[in-house]
Amino acid sequence: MPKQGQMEILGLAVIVVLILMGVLFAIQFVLKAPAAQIEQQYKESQLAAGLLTTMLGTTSDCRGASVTELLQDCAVFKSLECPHDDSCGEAGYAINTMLSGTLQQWRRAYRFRIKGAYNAEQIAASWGDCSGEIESNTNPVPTTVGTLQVTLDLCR
Amino acid sequence: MADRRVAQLEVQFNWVFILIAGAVIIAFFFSVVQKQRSISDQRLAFSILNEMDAITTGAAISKGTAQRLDLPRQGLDIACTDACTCSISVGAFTRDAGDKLIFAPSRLEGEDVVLWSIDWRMPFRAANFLYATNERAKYFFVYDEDNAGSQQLRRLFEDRLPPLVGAEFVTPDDVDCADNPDCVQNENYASVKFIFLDIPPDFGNLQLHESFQETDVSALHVSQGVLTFYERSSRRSTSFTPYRSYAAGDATLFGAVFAADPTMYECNARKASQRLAYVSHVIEQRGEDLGADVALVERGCVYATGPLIGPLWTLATEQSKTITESFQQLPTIADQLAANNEQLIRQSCPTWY
Amino acid sequence: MRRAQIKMFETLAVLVVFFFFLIFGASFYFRLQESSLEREFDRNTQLRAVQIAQKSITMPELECSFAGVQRENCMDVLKVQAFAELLATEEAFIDYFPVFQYSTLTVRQVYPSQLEWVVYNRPRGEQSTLLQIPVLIYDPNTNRHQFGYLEVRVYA
Repeated sequence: MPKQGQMEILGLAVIVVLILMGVLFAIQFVLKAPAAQIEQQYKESQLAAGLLTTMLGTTSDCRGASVTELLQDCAVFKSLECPHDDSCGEAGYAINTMLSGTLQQWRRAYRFRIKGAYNAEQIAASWGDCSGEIESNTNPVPTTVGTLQVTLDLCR
Repeated sequence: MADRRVAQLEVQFNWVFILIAGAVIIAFFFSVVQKQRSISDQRLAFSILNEMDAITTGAAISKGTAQRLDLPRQGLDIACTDACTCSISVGAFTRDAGDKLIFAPSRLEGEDVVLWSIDWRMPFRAANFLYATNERAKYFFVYDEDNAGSQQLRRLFEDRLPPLVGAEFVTPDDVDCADNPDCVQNENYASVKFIFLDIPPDFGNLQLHESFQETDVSALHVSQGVLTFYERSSRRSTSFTPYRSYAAGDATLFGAVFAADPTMYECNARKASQRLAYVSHVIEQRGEDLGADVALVERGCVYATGPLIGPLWTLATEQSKTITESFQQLPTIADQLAANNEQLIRQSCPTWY
Repeated sequence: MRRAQIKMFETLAVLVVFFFFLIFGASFYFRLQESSLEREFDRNTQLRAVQIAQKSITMPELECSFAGVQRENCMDVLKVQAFAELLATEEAFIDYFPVFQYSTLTVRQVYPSQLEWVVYNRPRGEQSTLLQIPVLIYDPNTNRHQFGYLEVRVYA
């Protein structure tokens, strides 16, 4: 009789162990973080870089100058006479229009800033909450007074 | 006595009951495992096909580069039917090649695959050709030192083929084992192709090494834009059946080298011609829009779409249905457009392409 | 006899509990499989979206080029218009299905003015994945690069 009792307790113990293993297995699936989405990875890695490069290559309304050329003039000479404003104002307007027509429309928080020359540093743009993770990309723009660092932060 | 019998019977019935219940449970689990294994295999093959699809799309876009990638354990089968349905298979699962123009041996097996892509320009980029091979596919380029055409072709292949491709340049004496005991041999290659550069192969008198008997061996003769594919009816056969086709540009020459058979070559050449027809239509339309611009006309920028793009579109459309001898004329027509394009550059006019 | 009957019921009860756990475990496992398959299906749709986007921005039918050299992330507006017209024909629409499959391709200009061209449209169902890629839109008539993006909507 005692042996039979021991066997039955052993059987119960085996069942408990199996149930525990099953529960651990289930917890592993529940707690595992979802794999990063391909689309998200592609967006994050390409979007900031692509946007910045494309914006800088865009032809502005100011005498056919590109945004890069406007920034270069803004940083150094401010001699370009644009229809409505100077080169800094025209560059700021173009950048704001482009960012609001894309990232803002897509409900993506962002921060745009320039470092390297006082005039150019006044050109900035932002939208949404940037307190979380940031995907950042910087393009250098050479000028005679040094290299401007043009940065676009995409915020999650 | 009766009680003892009942007890014995009860024990036996108990065991029978246990056996039946146990068998049912084991059978149940066994069937679940088998089913899951089959599903798992299917998912793996499907996943591999998806990955290969994405990889080949990326490779086709990365023109000019040759890259080595892992091959699935099950190998890759690439084939085109007579109706020009080209497909890529992993195990029992097949996916249509879609818009990809892939030239490859019919079966790729081993550890990795080499993917190489180049543009087909006529004279603007019309399509990307993707070539696939690996270390188990060997290409013997047979050239004649005294033949200028042969030397020219040899230089083309030597200069352009990536080092990752298993190419070897040999003379006819190196291939013929009749008088040369040191002739080329099969070194565990899954497929071998002999490419005769402007030298007509004489299979009647040519004696290949016996190690090639059990290998997938084919041949190609290239001579001034005319391609002759040679296929064996069976592995042990010594006779080769010729099939004539044509090339238009270097990219198609490489395609003929890498293609498993003339069907694959012509199907891809036809698809490429169809793309060329569409791209030339777009460029023609663009040329007409530019030609209608007053400012450009005043600057002397002329876009003669009729004589320049028209013949290209017509020939490309024709070749998209079937590859004929006229396919060789595409580069000539393309050169005329290229010359006009250079003229436009000199005039600082917007170019055709 | 009673003891035997109790034993039999005990065995049956064990079997019932065992099968209960088995069915519970199996249903949990199959639900996991189902969600895993759904995630894989989503992943495949995203992969297709990325492939179609990659192909679109490098197509000779749309790309900008000068003297045969392609400019990256740039589309020629005259080609966009001509290609859209071409794809409106039945033959081309069918021939380009292997390239674009079930998707909608739209080129949207954001700066200096807002314009849009629907290049290809073949929708299917409600579920879709959306990708936006910034591009320069080159006008050879004016020699200007405008700013915009290519919108690729791929249907599941």
